[in-house]
Amino acid sequence: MTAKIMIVDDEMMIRKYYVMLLESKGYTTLEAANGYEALEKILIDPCDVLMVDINMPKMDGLTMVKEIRSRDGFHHLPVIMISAEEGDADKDSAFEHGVSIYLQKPVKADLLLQSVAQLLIK
Amino acid sequence: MPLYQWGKSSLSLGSTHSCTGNRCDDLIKDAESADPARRRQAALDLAYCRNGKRVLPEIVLKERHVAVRETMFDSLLHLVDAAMVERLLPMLRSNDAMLRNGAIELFQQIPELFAPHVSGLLADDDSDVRIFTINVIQHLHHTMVPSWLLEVIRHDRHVNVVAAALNALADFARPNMVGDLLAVKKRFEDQPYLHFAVDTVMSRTKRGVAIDATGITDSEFESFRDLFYARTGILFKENKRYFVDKRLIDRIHKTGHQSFADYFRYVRLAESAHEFQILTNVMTVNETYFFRDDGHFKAMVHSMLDQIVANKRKGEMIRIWSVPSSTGEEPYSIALYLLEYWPKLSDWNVQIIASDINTEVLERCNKGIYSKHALRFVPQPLVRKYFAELANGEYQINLALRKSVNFFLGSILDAKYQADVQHVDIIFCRNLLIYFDDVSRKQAVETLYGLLNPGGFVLLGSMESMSRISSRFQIQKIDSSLVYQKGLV
Repeated sequence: MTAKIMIVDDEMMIRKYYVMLLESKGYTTLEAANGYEALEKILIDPCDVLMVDINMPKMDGLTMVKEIRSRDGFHHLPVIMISAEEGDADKDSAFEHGVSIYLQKPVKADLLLQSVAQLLIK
Repeated sequence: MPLYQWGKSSLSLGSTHSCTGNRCDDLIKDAESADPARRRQAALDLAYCRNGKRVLPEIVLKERHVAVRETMFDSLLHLVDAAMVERLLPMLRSNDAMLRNGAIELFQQIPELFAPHVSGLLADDDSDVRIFTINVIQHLHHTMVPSWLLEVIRHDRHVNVVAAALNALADFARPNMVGDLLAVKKRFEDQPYLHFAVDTVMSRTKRGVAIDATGITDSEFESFRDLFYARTGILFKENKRYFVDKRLIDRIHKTGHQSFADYFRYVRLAESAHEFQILTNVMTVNETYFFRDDGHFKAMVHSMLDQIVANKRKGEMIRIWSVPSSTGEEPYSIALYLLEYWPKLSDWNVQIIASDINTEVLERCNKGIYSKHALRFVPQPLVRKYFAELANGEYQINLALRKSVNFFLGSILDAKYQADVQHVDIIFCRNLLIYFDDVSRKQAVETLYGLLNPGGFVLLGSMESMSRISSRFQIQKIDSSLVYQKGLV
């Protein structure tokens, strides 16, 4: 069975881009436009890796990770956090929230695929 | 008597806000209270207080409770003027994502007040501020939006800012933008994502709109759609075109009109309210059946009701609302589930109310007569227990059950009906919001939120999702169903 990656970003085009990259490597993908929608979807259809943009409307990335991690069955879900913001403030809070990998936008395709592969091996 | 038997509805009107004299000072104290429920009430009342404009922009910065902060933003929206926008703009620089998002959502709703600041914000030194400004304008109802976004893709040097602008432009793509789009590729030669984004927007510039009319022209359909939306809040999208046209043509023939134009003139007249009601009826009929999406009924008797009674005193009423009631299968299914599968029913009084905007379906609800097909998922022993088979092979639900549901005419978008349905504990609002556009949908969900008791639940259809509408509710998964709960504060 192929690994399932959930992509959470409010920018539709970024989601499409990640979907294209990931599906070209044989992964299955799920999309959500904000943390709240991701939570709705993931409870019904769990994934193997979560890729989350830190800045989103309704429920931001960090709140979402905290919320998902508090639910049974999701305590150890690997999370890639992606941010467009410069500086380390986001990075620090991301790691405090148990994020596994932190990437800066624009994310290079090979780095993204490498990060996903790395989390799936663990 | 566990299931309330309805004589006539006599629910009271809600309170209205007012603020005079000493109450103002009390509000400011309450707004800083340690109790979130008091702070939230104060935030609500400050919207109607002379101190609101001064106090709310300050206290919202300190607030950490999500529901209280959301209420503060609602009150701010009520009070906002040009001077207040100036005070709120720095929130776009905040590291507090929830505060920033609150400001972004507020700005999106005040196009005329926000527009004068756009150019300045898009020239800000901080690329994050430019991105957040794009987040605002992409949902701003303002004629300048495409021009602002084009300016960004022409001149901004930051790859993430241009990416955000391209994403926003996808909704406004026009063939005359092709030159600007191609220029982005040149300016950012080594950014594969931007190339992908440009290609996506370009593909949208070519998409034409050509839908075959079957007797009703595009502009006629649009006139009807707009009228129907203005009067009912229901917006028919293009994918409902066939369905709408067919029913319109049928009404045109049945009322003896020669053309759409004749019929439309007639139906717009105030004297034609009766015809408009018939039109509403034929446009909103949906096939449904007993125990449809039964996961929700199971969730109700296995978990939601237990959670609700945990916060109630003995003797307090539990109120369940089915909207839209359609032909009654849903509210009667609720009653059947309570009677058969909720052992605590004998300890509590439960009221079931049900409403619809369609007079014809409400009449059918009151009669309670159903085909065998509508009962296909009801176990035979229950059919025998609660229904009587009629000579024509149909089934009528028994009188006690018919009396246990109070049906009434009303739209959830119409304030005058909302007085009848306050303090609700569970709202079944399944497959209704899909007919609404974004604005009505948000308004409807806000209404539902306001009518619910703290800790109450909303259930949506299995294909619907709350996440694109509102984040006010907490999501709970009960067995295989998602339900949305209002916080206890």
